[in-house]
Amino acid sequence: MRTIDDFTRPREYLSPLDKHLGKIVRDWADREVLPFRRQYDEDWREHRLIEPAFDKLMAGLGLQRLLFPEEFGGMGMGHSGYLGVGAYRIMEEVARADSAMAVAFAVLFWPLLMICNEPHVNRRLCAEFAPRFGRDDKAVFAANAMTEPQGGADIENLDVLKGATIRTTARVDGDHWVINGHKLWPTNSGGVADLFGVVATTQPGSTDPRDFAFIFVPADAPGVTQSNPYRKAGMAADKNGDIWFDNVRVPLWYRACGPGDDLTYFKEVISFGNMGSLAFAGGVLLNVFEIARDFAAHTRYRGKPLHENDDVAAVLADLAAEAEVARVLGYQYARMIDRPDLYGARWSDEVVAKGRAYKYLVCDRTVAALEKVMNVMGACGVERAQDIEKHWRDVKMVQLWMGGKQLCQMETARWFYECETL
Amino acid sequence: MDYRDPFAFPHEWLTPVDRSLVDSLRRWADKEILAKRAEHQENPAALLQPALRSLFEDLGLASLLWPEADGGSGLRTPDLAMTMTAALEQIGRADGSLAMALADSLTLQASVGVEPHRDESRLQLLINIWRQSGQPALAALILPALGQGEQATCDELFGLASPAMLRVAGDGWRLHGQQCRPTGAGSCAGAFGVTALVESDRRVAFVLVSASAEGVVRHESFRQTGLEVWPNARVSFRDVVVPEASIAFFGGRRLRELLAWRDLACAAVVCGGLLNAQEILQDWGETRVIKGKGQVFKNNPLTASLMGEVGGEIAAARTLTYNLARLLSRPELYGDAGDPTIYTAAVNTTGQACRLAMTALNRSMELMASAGYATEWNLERIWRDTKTVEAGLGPSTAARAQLARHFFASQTT
Repeated sequence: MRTIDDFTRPREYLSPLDKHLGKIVRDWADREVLPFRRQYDEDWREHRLIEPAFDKLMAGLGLQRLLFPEEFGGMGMGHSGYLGVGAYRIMEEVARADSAMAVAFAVLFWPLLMICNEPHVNRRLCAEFAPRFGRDDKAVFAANAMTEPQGGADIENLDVLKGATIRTTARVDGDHWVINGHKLWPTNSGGVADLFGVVATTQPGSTDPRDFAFIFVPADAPGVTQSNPYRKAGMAADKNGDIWFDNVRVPLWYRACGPGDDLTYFKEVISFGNMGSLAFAGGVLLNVFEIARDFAAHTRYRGKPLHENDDVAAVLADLAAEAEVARVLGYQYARMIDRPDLYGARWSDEVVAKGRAYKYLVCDRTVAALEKVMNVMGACGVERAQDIEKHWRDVKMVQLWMGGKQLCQMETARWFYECETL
Repeated sequence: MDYRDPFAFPHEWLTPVDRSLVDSLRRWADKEILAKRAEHQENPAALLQPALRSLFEDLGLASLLWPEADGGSGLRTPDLAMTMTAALEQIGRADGSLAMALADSLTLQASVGVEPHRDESRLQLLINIWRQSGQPALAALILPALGQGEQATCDELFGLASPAMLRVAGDGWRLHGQQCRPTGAGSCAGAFGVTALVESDRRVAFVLVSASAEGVVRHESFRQTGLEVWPNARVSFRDVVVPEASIAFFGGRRLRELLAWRDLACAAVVCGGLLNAQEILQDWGETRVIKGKGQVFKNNPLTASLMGEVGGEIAAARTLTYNLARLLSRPELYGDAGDPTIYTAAVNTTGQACRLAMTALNRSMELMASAGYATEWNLERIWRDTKTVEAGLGPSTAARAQLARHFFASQTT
């Protein structure tokens, strides 16, 4: 019987830890998530089932320490040369079980990328925050607080707006930043994260890159309040809500990289988000392959197993083809991230634009492939017991997060066609 | 009609009574459902279950076919197709679960109640089943499906498996079927319509069964993507005694008629969801600015283009659906619903309407990004409900095989 390991992986540039990391995460997924995930939709608010699984993944396996340099108790993945392909493998395995868990887990690393990655490691902030993530009994999350009520995805639209629409302000008062503002939708908000990376402006309305600030704010700092999580079509493991910053004071040295560099390296976060999205969609495709394979072998049409019908086989073939293509594109992008010497800086317009292109292409095709498979399954396709419908709801949200499809298209067009007024 | 419909559709086929019904239902939907659904986000059933009773009983929609003596409207001609479509569309605009509950009830009734199969005794049997249950006239249809083992099939079941078997026992019949999956409401419907094969001669039969009949076992309800207000559950029929009078019909032609009516009902429900989606997207497009330049969302060339596509898809789905309603309402012109040409038109229309709807809804969600999947905006519920309706049509490969069989004399195996 074919398995998900029969899909092609680019063996020549896998991480030396690929096999080991892949195995421990898959074992975790098979043991801690797959038997319980059908109940996750009802657990969206409390995370009574979801939280223990996160604890075992992030604290038990120590994966929440991945990015920090070894001197701070981390695994040093930020300077390993395999951050992209290593992270891709882990995220793909997690998403195979539950793409919302993969999103929440991956977003832990978003703010940490700003301080743990070469060439912009901020050792003082690493030393400050690494102990929080050193726990081996409890998952600890971080979140990027970006989106604001008035502008939606404008914050992510850096090339055009250059931070001019950011209304969350950071003002210097002695040796502290004073932060005021309101954020919506951050993954790992709704009471989950211990630490926020807050996108703010030091000069409202300014397009000067030096006024774009990325500042760390502990979730328990006085003046930080959060709403309850929103209810969504799926992605129960990923909590989103409102965050308000009301005269929140943090030390000046909590700024990630400094004037100008904050904006430059923030684009790296977008690249990793796109790579993560590719891995999430890829993991979903792998699990849907497993489900469709079993369903089509055990269900009959015209007296034969479903997969022996040529029309059905064509749909199943399309699914396998999409999974192959998604993995090729995903690993290609992960490789681009690992080899800036060959492909350009992770924060360059080119790498960001290509990540956007791959992300929307793969997500669009994943949603479409799942819909075709669900249609072949008839009424069973929408039953929770088959698990595909959950993947379909979840991956639809992966398709739409990080600013939605049109933003991806505009960034792609801007780079490839050198558009100037989009 | 009072309201201004932005979509051109062949409304000349609606009677004045149909138009009046549309107006009433639209007002009812606005007041009783749409205005209240925000406060019932956490528990939509608390809003929709009383609404169903109001719709079925106070407004009399479940009794459209019933004799006037039973408090019904006595609509027993194929004109019902047009009335049903217009009504289901308006209810579907309010809520897909409500609309599908009515759709399956009317489909079951139409199978025995509409000319030329106007069968007073069998319609009365259904009315009595529902009256005795004391519940609204909910029906659960059990239709041909993919098989899970060596289940019997035949061409009249489109290569799908028969959910149940019917065998002669004394001077009556016995129905046997394990873990049959209804189209919906399996956990609470008072009446089942069950597709079965006659054991002795492999004829197709369709049986009316009361949920309270001895040997009817409802299993635990299961979750599905959408249409969850009336939970579904598999049902077993363990040697259920079936009097001759409970057999709605024999033969594939009548089954095709039933399926054609259900296809029409599903398409109408889907169109209703699209009408509401259009309103949601319109609101979004007018109240959001993008790119930090104060540009209204609907006025950006790209988003306007995509919104245009959505509008076109909705218009096409509605036109196809009303055209199908016309085909079913005029058998003297087009042939009856069991005729292969009309049945194929039904399969095609509903498949196309669902695909257009899913494309339009996927696009709308993409335009609205996180608001597209936030429960608060309701678009995601329409998206889930529509996918569930589409899945309930059966496996897509069987539909494609039917089209190939009809248009190209394909003999798929």
